[in-house]
Amino acid sequence: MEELASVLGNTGSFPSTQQSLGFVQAVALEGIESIVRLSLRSERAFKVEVTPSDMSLLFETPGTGFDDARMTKECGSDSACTPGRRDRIAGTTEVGVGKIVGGEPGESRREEILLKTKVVLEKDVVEDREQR
Amino acid sequence: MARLREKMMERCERRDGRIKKLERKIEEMRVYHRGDMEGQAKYTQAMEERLKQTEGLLAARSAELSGTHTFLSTTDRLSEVDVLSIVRELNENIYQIAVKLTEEWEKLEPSQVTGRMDVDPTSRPSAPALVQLVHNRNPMGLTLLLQSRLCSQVVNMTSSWGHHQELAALDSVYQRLSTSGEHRFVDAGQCITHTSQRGKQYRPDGGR
Repeated sequence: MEELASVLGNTGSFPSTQQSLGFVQAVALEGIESIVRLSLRSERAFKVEVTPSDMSLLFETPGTGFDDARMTKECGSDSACTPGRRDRIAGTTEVGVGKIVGGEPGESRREEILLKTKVVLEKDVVEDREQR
Repeated sequence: MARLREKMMERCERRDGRIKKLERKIEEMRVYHRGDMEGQAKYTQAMEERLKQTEGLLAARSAELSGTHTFLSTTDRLSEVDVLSIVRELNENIYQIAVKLTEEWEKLEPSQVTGRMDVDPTSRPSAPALVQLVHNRNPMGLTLLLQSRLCSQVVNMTSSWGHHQELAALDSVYQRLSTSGEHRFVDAGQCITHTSQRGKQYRPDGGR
């Protein structure tokens, strides 16, 4: 809740953090509880219900390069990538799921992507801003 | 002539004696060899029985291992489907909250949104471009930014839960498996998961 309030605060949407916190509480309290419950449910599945448990949620840090093997694009970006340049990520909009596989003798461990993270690219955000 | 005959008779007797002695020795050797053969036969029979037992045990273990493998594969596959549906639902909830907050934010009077913009990309996992969009009153920018922050929080939150709170849940599930008789097929999984948990839980600084 405080995180969302700080987002609104950092973007200058409210004069004070207290006001943005009140706004988030009024609008999204129930939804946040639901997210916490689902997060716990997913983590319990990773640790208890999948054997062996080498699964985890994935999040891509803003500013890192787009990797088609791990991520899908949120919107726009139908245009081809600029040759020799990796598009940078503006934010992650959907978490993904990864699983560590391998580890047998003579086999290296590697991450298998079960669900790609969905990201929005900086160039789409900039293009969108320019359009406005 | 008589003397020669006696001498020949003596020689014949000595040879007869020697032949008898050799026959006894041959009989002794035959008995010894027969005993040795019987011993070898018993040993071979014992080894064959042992081989049969080992083969039987191997077949049983192979079947059990195959059953375990099938169980684990099935469990993993089913659970992966379940997990992915949970994560998709989680993503949907994140989107819904972001949209709901954005819609309410759009209803605010311009006089209410006169705060100072504080863009510090190093302090939080937010993109300055998205923050700038929101400052320019772009609703899509706010939705994306809220989604990004919620995703970041969810991942941080779940990884910290994994260190501190899930072992009790694990143990309760293992107890259930043991009492229901499923433990025969999940022993290997228990070891792997417990080891994995211990590895994740161990921190030199005590988890602080």
